[in-house]
Amino acid sequence: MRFFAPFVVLLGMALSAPSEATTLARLTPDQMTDAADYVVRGTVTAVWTEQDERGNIWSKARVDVVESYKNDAPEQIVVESPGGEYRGILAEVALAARYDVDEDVVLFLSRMGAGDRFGTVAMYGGKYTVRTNPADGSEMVVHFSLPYTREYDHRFIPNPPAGQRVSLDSVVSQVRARAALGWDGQPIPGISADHLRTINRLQPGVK
Amino acid sequence: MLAALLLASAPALAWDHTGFVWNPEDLPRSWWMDDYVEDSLPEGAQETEVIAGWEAWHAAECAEISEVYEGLGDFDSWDTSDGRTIIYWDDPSNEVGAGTLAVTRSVGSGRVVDVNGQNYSELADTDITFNDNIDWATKDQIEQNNCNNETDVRGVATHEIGHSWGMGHSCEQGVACNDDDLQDATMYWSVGSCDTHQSDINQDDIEGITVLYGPAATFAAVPNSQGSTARYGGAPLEVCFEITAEIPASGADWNFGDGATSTDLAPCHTYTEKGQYTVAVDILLEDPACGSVTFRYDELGYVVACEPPSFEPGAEGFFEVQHFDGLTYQTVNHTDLSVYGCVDMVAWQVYKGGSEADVTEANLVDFNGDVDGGTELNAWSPKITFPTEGSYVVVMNVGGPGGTAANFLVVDAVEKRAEGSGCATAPGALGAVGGFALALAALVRRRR
Repeated sequence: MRFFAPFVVLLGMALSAPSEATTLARLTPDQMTDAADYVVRGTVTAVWTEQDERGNIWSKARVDVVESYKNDAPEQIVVESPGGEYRGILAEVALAARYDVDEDVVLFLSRMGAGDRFGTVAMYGGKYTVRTNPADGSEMVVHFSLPYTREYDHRFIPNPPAGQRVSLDSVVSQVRARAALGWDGQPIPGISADHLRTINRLQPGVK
Repeated sequence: MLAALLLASAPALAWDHTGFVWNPEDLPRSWWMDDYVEDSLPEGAQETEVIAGWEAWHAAECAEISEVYEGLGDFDSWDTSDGRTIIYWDDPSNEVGAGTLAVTRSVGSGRVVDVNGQNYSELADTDITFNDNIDWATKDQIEQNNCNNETDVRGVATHEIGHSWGMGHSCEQGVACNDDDLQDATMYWSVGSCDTHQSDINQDDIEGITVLYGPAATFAAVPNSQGSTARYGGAPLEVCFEITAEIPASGADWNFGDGATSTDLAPCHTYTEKGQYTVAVDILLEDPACGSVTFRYDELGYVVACEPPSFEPGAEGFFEVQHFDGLTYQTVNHTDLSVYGCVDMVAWQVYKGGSEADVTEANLVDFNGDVDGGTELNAWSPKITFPTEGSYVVVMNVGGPGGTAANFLVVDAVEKRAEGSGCATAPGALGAVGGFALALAALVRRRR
């Protein structure tokens, strides 16, 4: 039970408080790239929450795309995470990606349905924050997730220990190499083979 | 690389709750299943495997949970307003998403249920949706070595049903979770293909569900010697604890997360060093129905003790400034961020001049940063564009619950083109740089 007390206070005020929880598959780096419609770097310019017609709460972030690493993404994308707080109703979703204005991010974007709704592959696993590595001034990427019960401020997320820092360049080169090579035809949990064929090059012999 | 990051940043500890619980008066609860046929499974397996998932939770003998299967039905999509627990197998809008095996959605009634002295939201409805883009297999199929990257449907069902009872993930995100015992829990947050370990609940799951529905106890912070119940703050931080239970605890064994322990029923402990601390206690209860029950109750990150800001080991100061391009310089912030919550303010200012004595309001410079310019920037490690060549004092203020720190560097700004990759150090410009700690208490502490 983590940071539970404020959560309960909020729930007590809510007329109908939803919660979601998930099981994530374990994806390899290549599967993460294959499963993404786009892999982009961008800047978060706005964040807000909405409630859909079924009562589900979604946290949304508008991202100005700076660079596409896999497929050519639109200049601006709205990425969604399940859960958040909307009009006093808190929907806590473990492992949801969080966003903050001015945050520099790398996103593995996954299309929801047939329209232009996007989430991230494997929830927070498909979102990185880009920041300056204090050791050498280079750009590194950081994974971090936080319950909706705590304020999220991208500026102060923890840096990984020095030996565990991952450079932006290494992730980008890995994504680009996989995108150029293409999908190997192996199934990936949670995404159809038809869609994988649509969003990826195909390795030789893959139909 | 990505996988390694996922593991490194993934969770750490024991059972958790969603904050929701079924009212004992509403048990047994009824559940239904959508009649959508999942063609990756043998006929009938959708029902038998999910039923087995419900039954797995009855291994928690002291948890008073019960349910009734009402059968198959023709249901549409998620509807968390009908008060019925329904298992769906169809996700036409792909809202479950790539990489996610299943999702449980829960809705509270708005009423509060007291569970061993803590308030939980009373559950009114939960629905579970399996991802229809998964190659599912039964537990028996996988264990008979017939697995070819399929996912154990019973294990995922057991996990999601745990959520529907109010169980959270066994390891919270954001903290390393490399303990095999915890990764073996049904409520661990992920599972690989051909892995059936989630089909059966383990001791961690049993303790979590027993706290919700059985004889159990919790703890909370109570006023310390100064009358404060604060769990976040500057070190030294004294926190006092008290066990609450319907049945009085007959024994306790505390671990405060910093190496200190206690067997008092209501101990106080002072945290002297910066850190995020998990508090754990083994509580002994003598229950008339279940007999002697001992279980561990953990609170991940329950206490956050902070010290005044410091810089990372190995760094030579709080920040440095590197030439970027033209009159634009890149700051590199070395402030230690190892404990989330211990730094919550950053502010940069630039003054015309070459020494500490020049840090006065009259010398404040309007500079263009990478956010919105002006005389102050609140980004963590911004670019700074000086208005003209010359000598400037760059000041960085950082602060949090443990205190504040203000530091400066003198930069001789020289306009020149970017070197190499565009992020080169400017030895000429920084040759005259001095780094000194300042006590700039007069600077306005301002958040973004």
